[in-house]
Amino acid sequence: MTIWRKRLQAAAILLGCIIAGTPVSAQQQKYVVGMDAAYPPFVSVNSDGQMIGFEIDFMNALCAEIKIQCEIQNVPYDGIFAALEAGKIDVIAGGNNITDERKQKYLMPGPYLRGPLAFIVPVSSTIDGSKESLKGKTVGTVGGSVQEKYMREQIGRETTVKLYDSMDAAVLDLDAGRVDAVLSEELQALPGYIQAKPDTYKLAGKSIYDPAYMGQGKGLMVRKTDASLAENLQKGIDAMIANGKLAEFSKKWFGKAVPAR
Amino acid sequence: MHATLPFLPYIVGGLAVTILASLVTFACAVAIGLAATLWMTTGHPAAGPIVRAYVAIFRSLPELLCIFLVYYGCEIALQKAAVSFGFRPIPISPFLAVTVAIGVQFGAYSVQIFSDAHRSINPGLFEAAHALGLSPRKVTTRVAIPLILQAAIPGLSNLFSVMLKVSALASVIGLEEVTRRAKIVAGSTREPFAAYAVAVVCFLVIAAAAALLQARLERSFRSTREA
Amino acid sequence: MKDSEVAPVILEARGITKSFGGHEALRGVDLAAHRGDVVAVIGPSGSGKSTFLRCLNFLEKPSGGQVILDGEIFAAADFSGRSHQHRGRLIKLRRRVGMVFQSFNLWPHRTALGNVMEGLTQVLNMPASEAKERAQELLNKVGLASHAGHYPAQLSGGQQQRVAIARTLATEPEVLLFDEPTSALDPELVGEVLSVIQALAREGRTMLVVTHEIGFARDVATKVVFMADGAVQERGSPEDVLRQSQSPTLRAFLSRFRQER
Repeated sequence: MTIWRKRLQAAAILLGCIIAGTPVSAQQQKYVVGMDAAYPPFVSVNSDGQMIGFEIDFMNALCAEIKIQCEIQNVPYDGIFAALEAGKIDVIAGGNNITDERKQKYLMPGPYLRGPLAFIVPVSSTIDGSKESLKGKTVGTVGGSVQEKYMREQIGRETTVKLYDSMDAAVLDLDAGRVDAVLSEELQALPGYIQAKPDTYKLAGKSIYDPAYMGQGKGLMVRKTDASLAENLQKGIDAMIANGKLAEFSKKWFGKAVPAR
Repeated sequence: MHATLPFLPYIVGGLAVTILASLVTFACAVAIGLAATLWMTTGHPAAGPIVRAYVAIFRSLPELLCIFLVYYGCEIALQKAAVSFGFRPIPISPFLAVTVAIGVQFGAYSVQIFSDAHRSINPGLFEAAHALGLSPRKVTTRVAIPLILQAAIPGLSNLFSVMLKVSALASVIGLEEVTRRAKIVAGSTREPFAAYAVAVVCFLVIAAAAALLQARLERSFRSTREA
Repeated sequence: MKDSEVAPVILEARGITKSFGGHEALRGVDLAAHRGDVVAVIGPSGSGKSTFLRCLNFLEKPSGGQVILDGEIFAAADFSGRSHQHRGRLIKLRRRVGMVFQSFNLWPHRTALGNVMEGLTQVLNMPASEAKERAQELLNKVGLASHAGHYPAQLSGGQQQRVAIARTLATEPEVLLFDEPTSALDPELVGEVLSVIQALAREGRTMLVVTHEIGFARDVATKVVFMADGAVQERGSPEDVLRQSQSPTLRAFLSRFRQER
């Protein structure tokens, strides 16, 4: 077994040398932050291909706050966890909810944002977000999310839940009439859909502020082996909440100061 | 559609990455296929079994798996090696991962194209070169390779058009080619149809260009075949 | 002239044997060609005459025996392995013994001129401009000066074979081997090729010609060898072999041949 491992390592070194030419020994502290730029207003691209959004401003300010060098990379969400584990990136940002499952695998500095859930429906819809109004209807949402949990536990079996791998896919089916409503995070829904197409969509009823489903807020994700980095990031987030910078960014991107805690 | 228009240059700009990645990958696959085929023709006892095993393995693996294997797997292996041997790990870029993974995988297909091409060539053409006193190396470079390449054009063209499409898989590891950019724009503008439609047009345009090139190449070779 | 004076032996085969699997194609063939000899090798198909010719330049590796070119011995055993030393000797042998094939084997990706130039630039390492001039002369010699730019596919069979002869002449081999040079040609094209070969014979070149053209053997050859069942059955002057021989196999072959033509 050890012989095998040695051989594998030797082969890997050879491969590495081929790819890189020569091994580099100088250690520079540069952290790579990965996020998928397809989730406005958290993060998206402008027409020049530049990444913009709340998360970009937030991460840049956070790195400056704790004086570390950061490079932000646009990483598809499908592969973002593998990228973290493979060491291709050091931090996952982009607006991930803190959950107990995630906390078992990663360190999650935060929360830095905590927003309610809301149903997106066509403007003509009579759905008001109550259990009764959703009876016999189909609701789309992202699989594995707190929204799915909410649907299962609070709305129940009389409403069909359809799961998607992204909010966009769910909203596409809302356009197509395959689902009657989409349960989303209000922070994502407002600028992303409601403000973008006020003639098409509206938020149904009241936003859902139940702390059990607002989750534990949004956090960053760091490998468990990078405890000092996580600690640093946490300190930076605390400082940014205290000095009002976070509120400033959320006003800029969400139109209102979203509570961080 | 309005929101997507300003993003047109951004999506179309991904074409450069798509084309470059496809070309590099293609060159990689062709080099592997040609080398393996020529090695087999030397009659070296190990050549047949090794090449056949290579073809059998890589033809049965999904492309996506190969990309993941190289992009994540090699990175982890490199890091392990870096820790035990004390050098800084080298990041494998999405571009490198895709060209290596797809290049090696499509190398397996190109081995078949080339060995079929080789079989289709009258062995007398090689004998004539040997009989003239050309060294084995020159027989290979002056006669075998040009003839094999010429006979392989239709098969290689097919391979390239498949490769163009497969390059879109690179979007899952973040290579900013057309598909990935379309997806980013779809997310950013909430106009997925418009964004993907632009990507569709991009692919149709390169496919058409590739077909034109193939027709042209075949015509220029056909002129040496027919009176 | 050639018959009366004894020129030195240039190419000699001693006890050439060849078996394919269990089948013995050659059972110990001896043959000596003096400088200036035109040896016609005749015999029924399957008699091993082409195999024998191909053994002389080791396109076919003999199972046993020797080929002696101008005193230098090339033994079958030398070429069984992959030794570089012997490979080098083989290339030298092939430079000195040229071969013309039944199916011409012109390289389709090169023009007539390119085919002829190949040996000049790649074997004799002649500079391209000089090679071009020389190749043009050779094409002129086979009557195809005006077809230099044609690709093989644009030439008739007879023209292709004449280009092939020019290609073989380019490296100035001391012995020319012709392997049924007219068998693949339409009858009306045979003459143009035979007359080129005849002209070469008049120049005093040493040639071994495997042929079915009995008339050619009679008129042009200095020696005729009749092979059957992988062995030489009769040898001698054309007169001796074609007219005087009492061998029943040879008589049967010749009579069948005349009927066919």
